[in-house]
Amino acid sequence: MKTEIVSAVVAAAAWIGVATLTPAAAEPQWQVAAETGASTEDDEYQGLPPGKGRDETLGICAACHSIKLVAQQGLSRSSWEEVFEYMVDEHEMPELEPEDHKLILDYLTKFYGTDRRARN
Amino acid sequence: MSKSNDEKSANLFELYAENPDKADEVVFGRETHKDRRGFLRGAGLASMGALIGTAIPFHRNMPAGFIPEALAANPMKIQGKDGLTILNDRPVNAETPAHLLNDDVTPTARHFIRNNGNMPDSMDAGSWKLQVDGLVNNPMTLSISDLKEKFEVVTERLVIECGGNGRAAFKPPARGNQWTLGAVACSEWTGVRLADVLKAAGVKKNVIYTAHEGADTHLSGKEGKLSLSRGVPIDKAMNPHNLIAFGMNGKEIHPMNGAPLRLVVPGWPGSCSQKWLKRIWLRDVVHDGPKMTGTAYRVPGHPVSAGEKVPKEDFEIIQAMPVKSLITTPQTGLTISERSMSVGGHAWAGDNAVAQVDVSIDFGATWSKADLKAPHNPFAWQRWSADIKFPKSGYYEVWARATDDQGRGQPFAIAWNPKGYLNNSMHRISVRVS
Repeated sequence: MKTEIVSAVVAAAAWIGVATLTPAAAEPQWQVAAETGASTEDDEYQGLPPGKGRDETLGICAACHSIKLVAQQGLSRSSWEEVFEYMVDEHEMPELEPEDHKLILDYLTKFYGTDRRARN
Repeated sequence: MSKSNDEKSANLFELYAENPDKADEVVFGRETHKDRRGFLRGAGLASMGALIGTAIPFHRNMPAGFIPEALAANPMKIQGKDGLTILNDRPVNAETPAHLLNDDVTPTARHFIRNNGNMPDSMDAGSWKLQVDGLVNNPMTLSISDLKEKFEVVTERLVIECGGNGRAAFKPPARGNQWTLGAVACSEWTGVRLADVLKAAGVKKNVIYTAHEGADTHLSGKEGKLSLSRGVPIDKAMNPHNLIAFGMNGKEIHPMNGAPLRLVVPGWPGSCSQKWLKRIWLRDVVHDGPKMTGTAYRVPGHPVSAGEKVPKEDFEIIQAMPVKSLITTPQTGLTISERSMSVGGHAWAGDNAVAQVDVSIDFGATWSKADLKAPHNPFAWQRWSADIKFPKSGYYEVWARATDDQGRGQPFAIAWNPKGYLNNSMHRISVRVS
């Protein structure tokens, strides 16, 4: 095999923008809290960061599934909006009052937006 | 927590394991409402609060049978599973790091878990019944013993891969569980051929699609609502390698992999392989159960740019999974002092076979052909291996690329689609040569 490292690195760097290498051995951080057995505020909120709309987000999302599903995402406001529609249409989420809708959407967009790495 | 609270929470786990709704009632005085959101009252609320150490502002929203996260200390060791990365704990979704998938036959402990709903209350093999109905001449209700007595029992190594495996690498991201590499496995499944059962039922001429139903329940707790019910075109259903399986690696199926009975429809998205199988329904329309419609398990019928909005009507149902390979040995991140190394892994190709695997150590500039074994049986993954030499010290990436018997290879980059399916871009590992 040849080793055209320099030109190849440029090609690879372009590719990394599309496909991120996976650290195989990384453990999700939340397991650490679980192992200590301590009941912290973080446990109660399943890791949702403090902010306006946190209680409402926990109440609505965690009614059916773990916050770990939320925490895996990094979505734009319009994608989060689509998630709401999907949850209402397909998964029995109640239609939200406009103010709660905005509150939760603001919260999710702020903490789980596209500027965030998609995975844990 | 005080000692008495420790004891109480230990008992709590036993109680919840036996009967979650009953446990709610006994321990916390919590009644299960129709929508399965529990309702804490008086002493119950106080005792749950005492265990957690603070009040629960949203206790009205807590689902029935739900142990608060703070109580569920060290809950995530899933019995019978080992080394899996847990993406979600309610419902449980977990994948296997690539280097733990090195076995030719994936051990049960290393088989990924993909759940859409809550697991069924009962998984009793003795009383389990499978219904085969719809457009058939002889509708049947079969116990697992009936299946074993009436049909030939076969054992095959079959690949099951989640349609969303690799979603984590999508940019812009796609919503859903962020699977990286390990939502794939090739275990040894024992059961009867789906085709034999369908022939015995007498499929009518106008049937075009199967519809599968399982015993798992919807996350919302809504009575009678299915979490997922998919199907396949009748031609695919009649393939002799689809199994109605009751055995996994010579033992019973792991509860989270669909015990006591599941479909294994290899080569297609894992969602076609209904877990906790209760019913196969034959239809004269494309099945329209949950996660068959809309954009679920669908991709645009034409290439799209990353992030593009795609109209719903442009989406098509995913059929066979694309050609793919994994490097399962060595583990990524290795540092070696020698100038040579053996690499290896598996390759698979939906409904097809893998014809060739190549490896590169120079970011895809040059390639060498790997040794590739024939599959143990159709739809089993194929072992590949290669000995590689590094010309000098430094940082390398080993890339693997499989090509199927139709000449289709794995791409460098993801063919982006809105829902994050079918990422079969090449797997690569890093190696430092000191």
